[in-house]
Amino acid sequence: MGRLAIRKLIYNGKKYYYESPYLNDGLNIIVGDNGTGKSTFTNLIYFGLGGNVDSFNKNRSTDKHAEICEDVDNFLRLEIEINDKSYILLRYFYENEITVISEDGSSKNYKIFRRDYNEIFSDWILNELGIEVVELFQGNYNWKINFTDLFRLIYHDQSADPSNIYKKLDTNHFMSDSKMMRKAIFEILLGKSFTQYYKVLLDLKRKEKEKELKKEILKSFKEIKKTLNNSEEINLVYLEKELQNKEIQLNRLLQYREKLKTTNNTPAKTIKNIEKEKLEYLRLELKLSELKEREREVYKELQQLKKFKENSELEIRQIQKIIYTHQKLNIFSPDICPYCLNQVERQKNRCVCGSEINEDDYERFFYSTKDYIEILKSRQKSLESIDFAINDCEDEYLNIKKNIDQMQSELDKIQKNIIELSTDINEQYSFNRIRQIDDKILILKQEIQNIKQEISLEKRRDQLEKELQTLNNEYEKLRIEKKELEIQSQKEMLNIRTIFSEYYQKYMIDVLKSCRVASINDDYMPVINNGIYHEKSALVPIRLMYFLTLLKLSVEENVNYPKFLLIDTPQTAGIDDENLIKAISKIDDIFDIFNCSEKNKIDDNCSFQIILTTAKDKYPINYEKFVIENLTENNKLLKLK
Amino acid sequence: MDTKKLEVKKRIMFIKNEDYYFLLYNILICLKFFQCFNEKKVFHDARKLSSIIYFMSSYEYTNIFCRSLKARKISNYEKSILTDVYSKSKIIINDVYKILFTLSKRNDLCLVKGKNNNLDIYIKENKILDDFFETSLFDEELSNLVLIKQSMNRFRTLKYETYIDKVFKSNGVGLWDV
Repeated sequence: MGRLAIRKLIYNGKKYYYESPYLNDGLNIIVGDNGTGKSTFTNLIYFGLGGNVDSFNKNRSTDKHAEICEDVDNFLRLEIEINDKSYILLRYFYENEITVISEDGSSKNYKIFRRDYNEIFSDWILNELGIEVVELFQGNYNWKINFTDLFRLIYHDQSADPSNIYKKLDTNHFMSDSKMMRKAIFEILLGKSFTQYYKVLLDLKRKEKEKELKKEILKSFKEIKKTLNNSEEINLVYLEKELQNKEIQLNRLLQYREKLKTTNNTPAKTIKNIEKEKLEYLRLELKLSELKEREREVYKELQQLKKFKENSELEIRQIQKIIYTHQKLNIFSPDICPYCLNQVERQKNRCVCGSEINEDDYERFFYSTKDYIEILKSRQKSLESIDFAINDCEDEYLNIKKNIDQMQSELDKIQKNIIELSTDINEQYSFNRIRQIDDKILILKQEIQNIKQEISLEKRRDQLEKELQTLNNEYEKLRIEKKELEIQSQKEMLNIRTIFSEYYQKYMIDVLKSCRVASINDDYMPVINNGIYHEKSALVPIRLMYFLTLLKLSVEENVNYPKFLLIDTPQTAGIDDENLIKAISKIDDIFDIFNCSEKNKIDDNCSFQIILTTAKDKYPINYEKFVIENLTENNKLLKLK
Repeated sequence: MDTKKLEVKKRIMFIKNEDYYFLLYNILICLKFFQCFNEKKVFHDARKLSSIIYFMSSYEYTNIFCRSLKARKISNYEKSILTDVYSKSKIIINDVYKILFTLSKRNDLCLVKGKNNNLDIYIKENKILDDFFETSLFDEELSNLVLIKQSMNRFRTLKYETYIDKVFKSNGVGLWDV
C-alpha cells in the first residue's frame, strides 16, 4: 500500500551543518566507527519524522549530544517521498511543530504533540500512507496510535538488549509500554481488517459507558421519586385511571355546588345532608377501631421481637464465655480418663472404659472450639435477621399510628361539619354546606395536581427505561459485531503469522546454525527451536531477520508497512564479525538489491528502501557499492561551519 | 456420618443450658464470688448450685429471684419462670456432680463431707484458675450475684431445704424429688 522513502537529510545550525548524499531505493549503507555520528544519522531521520530523541534535548542533565545541544537556531530538513509524491519536512529543535512543504510549493504547519489540536503531524503522515488512526483504550485512558508508535517496528535502533525486538518507547510518552500496544502495532502494520476491529472495540467501550451512565441516572431517578412520594410503585395506567376518577368527582362536586348556589334551602334538605355526614362518621369510626386493634397487635409483636433479640444477645454473650472457658480450662474430652485424668489412646467406637459406644453420640458433650465458634456465628447471623424483623415491625407500627392520626383528624373534621350544617337549617342558602363543598373541592384539586405530577414523573421514568433498553440493544449489536470481526481478524492474523513464520524460519536457518525451527507466537514475538535457550549472540540475527521479514512481507503482500527500514548498528557485544556479516549479507538473498540501479523508480522490485549504519569492515565486501557515506574521526557527521 | 452432616447435627443439638462449659464457668464464678477458698468458708450443699446457675446468668431471672423472696405475691409469668428454673436444675444436677468430681480429681476443687451426708465444696487457688478469673467477661454474672446476695444474705451457708422453701415452695411452685 503506502510507501515511505527518505531521499535526503540536511541538518543546519549556527555552528554545525550536514548534508547527506541522495538516498536511493534499495540498500543504503553509512559506514563509520564509534563516535563518528552513525546513530546521529538515524536519530536525525527519526527526529525529522516527529520522534523524540532524548540526547538532542539540551535541557537534559545526562547523555547529551554535545554538538547538537550546544548549537542554536538548529533545524532539520528531511526530503522524503510518500507514494512517489515528494515532500520536504522542516523541524526546528525545541519547537512542537513540523512544516510540510508539498511539491506544488504549498506549506502547512502541523503540531507534533497532540493536545487539543485537530490534525497533528502523525495524523497527516498516517493519512498519506493510507493507515487509519486507531484508538486504543487502556484502563481509563484512550490513546491514538501515532506514527512514532508504529515506527517501533520500522526503526531497528542500536540496543544493548535486542531481545525486546521493538524499539523502546519514547521517554516522553505518557502511556506505559504494554503487550496490548505492541500487539496493536504489529497488527496495524501487517493486518488489513484491524483498524475496523479496533474501531468497533472502541465504540463498544463507549457504548458500555453510555449504558452504565444511563443506568445510574435511572437508579438515582427512582430514588428521588421514592423520597418525594414514598407510596408504592404505581404504574402509569392505574395513575391515569385515578386521575380520571378524581376529575369526574371534581366535576360532580362543582355541579352540585352550582345547584346549591342557585336553589333555595329547606330544612329538610339540610337535615338530609346532616344524615349523610353522620353515616360517613360512623363508617370512619369503624375503620378507626379496626386500626387501633391492629395497632395493639403490632405493638405486642414488636415487644416480643425485642425480647427475643435481648435473649439472643444474652445467649451470644454466654456462648462467648463458654468459648473462653473451653480455651482456658480444657477439661472435658472423650480421650481423658475421668479417674486419673490421663490422656488415653481410645479405640474408635469404644469408650475409655472399653464398652461399645456410638462415636457420634459420644461426641455430644465434646464440642471443639471450632464447633462453638460455628454455633456463635449462626447465632450472630440470626441476630441480624431479628434486627431486620424489628425494623420492619417498627416501620409498620409507625405507619399505623400515622393512619390513626389521620383518621382521627378526619373524624374531627366531620364532627365540625355537622355542627356547622346545623346552623344552616334556618338559613335561606346553605352557606356552611357550600363552604364544606368548597373545602372538598380544594382538597380534590390538590390531589389531582399530585397525580398529574406523579404521572409526569412516571412518563419520564418510562422514557429513561426505553432509552436504556435501546442502549442495551445497541450494545448487544456492537458486541456481536466485535465478535465477528474478532474471529475474522484472528483468522487473518493467523494467516499472516504463518506467512511471516515461513519467511522468518527460512532466513533464520540460513543465518543461525543452531536454529532448526523458528516462528512467531500469538504475541508476535519470535520463538526459536520451540523456546529452548539460545546464546546471547543469537539475539542479533533474531532481531535483524525479524525486521527484514517485516520488510519482505510489505514488499510481497498488500499491507500497511511502508516498505522502509532504518537499521542502526545491528552489532552488539556477543556476536563475532563473521556471524554479523553473515546476517547482514542475508539482505541480498532476500531482496534483489544488486539489480536496483540508482534512482530506479520504474522497477517494482525496488519499491523499498533500507538505510543501514554499521562500523568499518563490519559488512559484506560485495556491499561496497551501497556505501553512500564514510564517517571517520576526521570526517564526522556534523561539520563545523 | 458425613462430616458436614455431623457439624450441622452438632450445631442443632447444642443446648446452651446443658453445656458443660456453661455450667462450669457459672459454678466457678459463684464459688469465687462467695470466696469459698478454704475449709472454713465452704459452700454448703452443692445442690444449690444447680438452680443458682440459672438465676445468676440472666438479669431478668435475677430480678425474679429477688422478687420471689419478698412478701408480695408474684405474677403468673414469674411463677412459670421459677417452675422452669426448678425443672432445669433437676435435669442438670448429675452433670453438676460430674463437673465437681472432675474438678476435684484435677485438684482445683475440694469436696468435703458435710452434715447429713451433703456435699460441701471449696475451690483451691491455683495458677490455672487465677488465670481463668483474670477477665472482665464475667462482670454481668458478678453483678447479678451481688443482687442475689443482697436478697439472700446467708446464701452460702443456707440449708438446701430452706433455700428451696424460700424461693420455690413459698411461691407455689410444685416440687418433686428424684
